[in-house]
Amino acid sequence: MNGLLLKDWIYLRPAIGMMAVVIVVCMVLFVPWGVSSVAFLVATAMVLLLPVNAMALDTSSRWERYALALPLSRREILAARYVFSCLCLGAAALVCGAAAVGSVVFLNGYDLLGVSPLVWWTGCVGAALLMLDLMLAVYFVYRMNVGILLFLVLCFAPIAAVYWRHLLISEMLGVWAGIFAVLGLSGLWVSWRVALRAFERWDVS
Amino acid sequence: MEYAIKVTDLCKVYPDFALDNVSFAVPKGCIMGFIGENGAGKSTTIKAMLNLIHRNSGTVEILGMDLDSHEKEIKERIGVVFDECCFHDNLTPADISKILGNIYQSWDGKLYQTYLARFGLGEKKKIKEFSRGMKMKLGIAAALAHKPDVLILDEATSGLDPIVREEILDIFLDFIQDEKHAILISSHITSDLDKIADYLTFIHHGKIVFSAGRDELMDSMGVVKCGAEDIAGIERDQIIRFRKNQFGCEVLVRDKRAVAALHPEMVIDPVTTESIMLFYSRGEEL
Repeated sequence: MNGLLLKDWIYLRPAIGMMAVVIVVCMVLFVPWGVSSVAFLVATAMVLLLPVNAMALDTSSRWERYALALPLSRREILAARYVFSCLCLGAAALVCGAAAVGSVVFLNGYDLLGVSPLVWWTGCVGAALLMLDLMLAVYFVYRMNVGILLFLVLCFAPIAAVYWRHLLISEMLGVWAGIFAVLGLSGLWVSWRVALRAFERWDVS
Repeated sequence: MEYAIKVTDLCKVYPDFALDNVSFAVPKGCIMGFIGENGAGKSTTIKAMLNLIHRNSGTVEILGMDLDSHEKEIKERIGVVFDECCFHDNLTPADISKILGNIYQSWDGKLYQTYLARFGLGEKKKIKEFSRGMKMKLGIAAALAHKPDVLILDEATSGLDPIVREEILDIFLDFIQDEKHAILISSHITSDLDKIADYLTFIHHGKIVFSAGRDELMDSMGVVKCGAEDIAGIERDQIIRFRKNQFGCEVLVRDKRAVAALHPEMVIDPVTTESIMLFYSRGEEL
């Protein structure tokens, strides 16, 4: 599995570097001004592009056909994809988490709608994890370009926020953040089971 | 005889195509050419042999091990080259060594570098800068660098110019010098197989038509050139297929010596792999 993780890292090293710079710039721009939620949203949305890119590159180079001819089980190939995606999200969550804690401890910070940055962080990371669960499962079940799915959700999110603005009150945001976090974490297991079942049955075209 | 690959009664059913009880065996120390027209089932067979697709039935043994129970061990000891390069364009041969070095236990980075030098491939050059021939050579270097005992090549020489093809065929001949190694090479470029193959397996519409030694086939089969009315004179059991043309008829016969002895007036030409393929694909049965 290390080889597969290394492959994704080598593939995406330039993109990861660029994203790290953008995320840090966002932190510097937004966190001291008490709008860390913007930085968290940017960071998690950008990080979701990494597994999308990795899957698109694998599809275009027909890597999976080759990977299946290597001494690797299907479970290992799938696990590598999940581990890499979770590592990317985990790294972004760590950076954002540090910023959220820093904002609370040093800046006594409150974010948009007067909610703690820690609530925003929980919500953003939970929603990103939920999206990741969905994307990975959809990719391995339907073999479709999940970039489109991510794009649609990212377009839909602001519209939904306006439409359901009455639900975006400070008292409700904590609940939403908790729901996203729980759904994201439990969805990871469901996503893995669904994807594994589909990948083990998959015939290379 | 010890076999490197043994495929028995392999079946795979698709809505519009089926592999029908495909069976053949590749002895150690030999190159087997796997021939057939496009869509005959060559790639599907190879995919089924590698568990890239799920078989409906049948068994695959490689190096004496059953594929289902020893998949990892088998894949550790085989090298596979597909018809196109499966590495992403932004990678370099050095990156591939790092990746595959973490996958194959027996990966030999120095041997890989030796192959790269032999093929004239720059280690730090990106794959997108490589020609198709160079990409195929890279695939072969990657397939050989973990010292496999068996090579499985799916149309690995298609789309290459004759010079690169010749070079690649030389590599295969070198590989086979060790009597423990074996190669299964699928191709529809029959001239390549005429140069290197010891055995030929011909697949047509998902069924194996024959699997035999190439010399044996070339030595026994022949093409009788005669008039359309002369076919009736040839023994029925000798006729495999015939083709009519504007000058008369061409008949593929099983035993050219026996036919020559009975019909000394008939002209009998030697067969080539291509002519056998054409007779089976486009010829008529009596």
